[in-house]
Amino acid sequence: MTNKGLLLVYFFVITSNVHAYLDPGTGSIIIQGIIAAVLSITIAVKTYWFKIKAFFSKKEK
Amino acid sequence: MTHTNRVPGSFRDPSGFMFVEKGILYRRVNASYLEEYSFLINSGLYKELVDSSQLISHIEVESADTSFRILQPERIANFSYPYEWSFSQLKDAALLTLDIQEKAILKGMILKDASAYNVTFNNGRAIFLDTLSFDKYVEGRPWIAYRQFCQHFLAPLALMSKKDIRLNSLIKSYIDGIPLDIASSLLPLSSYLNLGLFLHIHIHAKSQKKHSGELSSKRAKHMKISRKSMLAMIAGLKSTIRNLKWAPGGTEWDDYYSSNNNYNHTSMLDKEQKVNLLLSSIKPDLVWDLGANFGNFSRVASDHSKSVVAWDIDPSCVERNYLSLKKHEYNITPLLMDLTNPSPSIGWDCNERQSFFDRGRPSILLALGLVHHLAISNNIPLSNMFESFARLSDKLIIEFVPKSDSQVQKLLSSREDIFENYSKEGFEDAFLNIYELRSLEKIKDSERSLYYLEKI
Repeated sequence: MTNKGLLLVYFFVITSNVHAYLDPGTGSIIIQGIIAAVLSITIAVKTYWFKIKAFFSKKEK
Repeated sequence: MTHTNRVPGSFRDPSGFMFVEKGILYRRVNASYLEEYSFLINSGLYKELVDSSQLISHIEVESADTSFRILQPERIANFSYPYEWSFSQLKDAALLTLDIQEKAILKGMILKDASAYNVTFNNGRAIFLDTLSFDKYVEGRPWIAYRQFCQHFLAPLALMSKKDIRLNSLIKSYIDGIPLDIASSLLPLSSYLNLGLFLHIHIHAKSQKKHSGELSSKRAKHMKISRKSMLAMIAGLKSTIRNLKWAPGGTEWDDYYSSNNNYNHTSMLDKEQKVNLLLSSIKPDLVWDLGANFGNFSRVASDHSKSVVAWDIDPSCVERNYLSLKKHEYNITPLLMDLTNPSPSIGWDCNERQSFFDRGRPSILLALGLVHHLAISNNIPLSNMFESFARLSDKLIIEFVPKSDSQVQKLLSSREDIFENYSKEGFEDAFLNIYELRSLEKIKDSERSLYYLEKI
């Protein structure tokens, strides 16, 4: 990585954590990632399910 | 401005602090936070949240030094803490926090903390107080305050809803929210069937235990959460909280007026008229109605004052009062308080959260239908009661309920009458050295009397 690139990564990592004065907790971060992914998939499935339902109900009409 | 008179509870966040100067509360924005503060204003997020009455408004105080900012936030009539809120108040504070979080993410910001102490109730409505809680949102990064949100809001709400409403008292013991392992072990097994509680409390607690003591976790460091997933999680938390219910009822005071009522229609009306007349001539700024029950007299007081706090010991009464007030525009905030064990000063240096006695100075106290419960049910000597009231406010409207009253007889029915001094004379003797009697009136069709007292 170029010096510029390294500097960019450094700036990104350091500055965005300046105000994180709370300890997020390792276990909490890990579970948050899993929950967010699971819920995101659930919502996507639900959305498609409603679309499929809507498609067939239109056809019935 | 010297900025030296710091508010004791304002020290955790290095972005700024609160201080008091000439009786006015200010917020200092430190240099390290100016970029985020400008983003909050320039992104339109501040305006959006203030316009929807979700965030406290402020004006910027002009200063020659531009290395920091001084804000003067809108005045809050009476500060309260989460352990003084009813179930629906805590629920509304939680939903407000999540709503703000959603709006913030859509505008490129995120809440860097999610403490329940960021919220208070102003004239009955939940309002977010901490203008410095917003950080710039970097897509992919997890929500730092997720653990805090679960501890401060979800755990107490779940315990109050699924186990026992009185478990809100745990909020007072744990200043950074109820530890999730405690919440998980106290919740009934059936709560595992609630997807939100299963994920955000039970599995969350297990994950905390599994990873506790780890110096660093690659997995946590590299955890990426897309904006879409983050919003899905916030929506999930919102739905879990919305679905938590508690039906008030079955508590000691819940049906007080209907089953224990010592008043007929005439005497109740007369008492209302007398209180109304007194308050219309006093025109107080802030009224504290102690033992307010469903807030009948708080409503009378609200017509003549800027703001009213309706304190009561019973979670059902506070809940019903809050829910009925929410439907209308009132200047009343119902709050939970056991007067025989009022909120102490807690936190760092025993000074982070103020005690009931340090929460501001009401212009007047209402103590209606209360004296017998303090003196007879709780053995509080009458003189001690008056001393305590005088520490809170200079003015007092108090109702004396004599022993002959059936309500007092009921309290005495299961115990020995050791209250020799509990009489009209004993009552008047008890305040003689503290208060001056300004008016005394008998309440029609009852044996009760109404005293208006002013501190000597």
